[in-house]
Amino acid sequence: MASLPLAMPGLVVAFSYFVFFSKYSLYGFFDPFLNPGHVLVLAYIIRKMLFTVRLVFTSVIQTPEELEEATRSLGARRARVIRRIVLPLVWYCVVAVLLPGPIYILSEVSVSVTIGALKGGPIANPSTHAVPITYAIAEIFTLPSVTGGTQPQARAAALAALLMVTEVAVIAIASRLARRGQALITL
Amino acid sequence: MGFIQVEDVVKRFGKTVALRGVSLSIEKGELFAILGPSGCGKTTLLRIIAGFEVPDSGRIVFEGRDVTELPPDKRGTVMVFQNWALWPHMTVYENIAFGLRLRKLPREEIDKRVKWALDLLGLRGMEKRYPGQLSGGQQQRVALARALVVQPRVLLLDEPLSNLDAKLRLRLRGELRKLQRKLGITMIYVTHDQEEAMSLADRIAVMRNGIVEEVGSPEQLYSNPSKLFTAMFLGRTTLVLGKVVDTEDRTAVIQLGEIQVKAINHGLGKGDTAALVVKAEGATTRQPHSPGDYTVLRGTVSVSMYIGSFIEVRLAIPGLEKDILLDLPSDEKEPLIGSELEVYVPLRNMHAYPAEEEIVKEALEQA
Repeated sequence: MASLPLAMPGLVVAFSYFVFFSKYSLYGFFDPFLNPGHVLVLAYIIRKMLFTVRLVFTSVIQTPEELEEATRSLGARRARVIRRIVLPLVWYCVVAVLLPGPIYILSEVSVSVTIGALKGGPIANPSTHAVPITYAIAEIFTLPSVTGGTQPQARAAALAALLMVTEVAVIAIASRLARRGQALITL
Repeated sequence: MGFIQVEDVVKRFGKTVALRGVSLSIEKGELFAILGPSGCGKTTLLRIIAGFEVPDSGRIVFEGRDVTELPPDKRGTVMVFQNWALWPHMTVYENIAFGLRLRKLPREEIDKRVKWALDLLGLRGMEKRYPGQLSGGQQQRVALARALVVQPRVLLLDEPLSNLDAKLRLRLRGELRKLQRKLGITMIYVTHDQEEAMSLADRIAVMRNGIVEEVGSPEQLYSNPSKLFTAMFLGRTTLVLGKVVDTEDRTAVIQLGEIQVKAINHGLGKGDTAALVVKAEGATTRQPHSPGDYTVLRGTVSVSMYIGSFIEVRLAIPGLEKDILLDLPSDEKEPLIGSELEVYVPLRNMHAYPAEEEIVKEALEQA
């Protein structure tokens, strides 16, 4: 079931959310006009959660059953087995799969453009509308040159470099943690 | 009634029947081995006693109390697994102390008991190491220390030595026996290694295909097995088919190909088909002092190998489809392949049983 959102194109999810929340949450917490950020967070979770769920699930099922049974055999109840044995063993893997979450979201375009642009909009109020960083880079890059000060192209390049550094750092940490997690599980 | 009673336990996994009405009685302070080939249901039985599996029918009773439905953490048993199942994220000390912490013992008491276990199993100085930094033998001892430190009323061991090399296995086997004697803990030891079961156990249950064939002391099962499977499974043996031509007091005369031999009779009558189990050891080409205790096998040597402590010979008896394996003393002359040989086999190593079709078929297929 967790994989079902994958079958939905981002635009379909975005429009469905827009229609649903503009009808049932108008002026409320999930009002797509007033609080597109809230709807975005929900959309990101639903769209990207399945990767995390799948990877965490894989880590958990890789934990040898005997480790849990040895704990139960010594007198531990199920909850304690999960807290003291399963979670510490899969923790590195869980963190490792959670870390790339923001990376997925940074590259999530269809939902962000559709829902995020509702508040203010790129033309009416460019300072308040919410779009993914890649979209922002493209927008800034196409702005006309200015006399004096930093050129928009340079700002776009700096933003792109920042994005790359962040992504590389996150991927490096995630890989390192995943390796440690695997080392513990497969011992 | 025994300390642990297994009463008519049946367990199925889908269409496979793992246990077909197993009953056992285990005494307090006993080291009880469950021995059998792979897939005979011995580990399933142990897991049912531990509480990791629930039987489809039958009961498990500890000291008169039905524990069949009790979860493993409420049974007072501790299990040592084949791969030891040490928690890799905890140090040796933490692994051993875990069970004591669960029991909420004071810190000083935990420390005292962990040190006792470390000393008992020769693990001093390794407290701060992680399982990944230990050898196989050390890990096995940590698993034992972790189990013993909580002073369980029953210790369940599932082939705990099978992942070790032969030399270490032999040493730890001795240590385990000493420990059991010293602490007086009831132990149930599952193994497929007959030597291990014989050397360790007070009593052995021999299992085959989901049933208990026979229960007895190692001496009893080895020297006078009442079941064909037990006779065949214990020791280096050959199973051949013959015809009973005569029966005497405790023995039967069996037509084996073109020769006649004597064997201990286990319920055969004249004219019956006999499944004859010949144990390899004790055979000799020298004339024995008391020939009445021996029977003679005559045939052609098809294989002759000097092994070191004995000479392995395979004897082809005319008219018999299978060669008989015999171990001659190493100080005897190694027979030449193709030569005619007369071998004296002690009568105690010749056992004749009614030919149970399934077991005979299995044995002949394996040969």
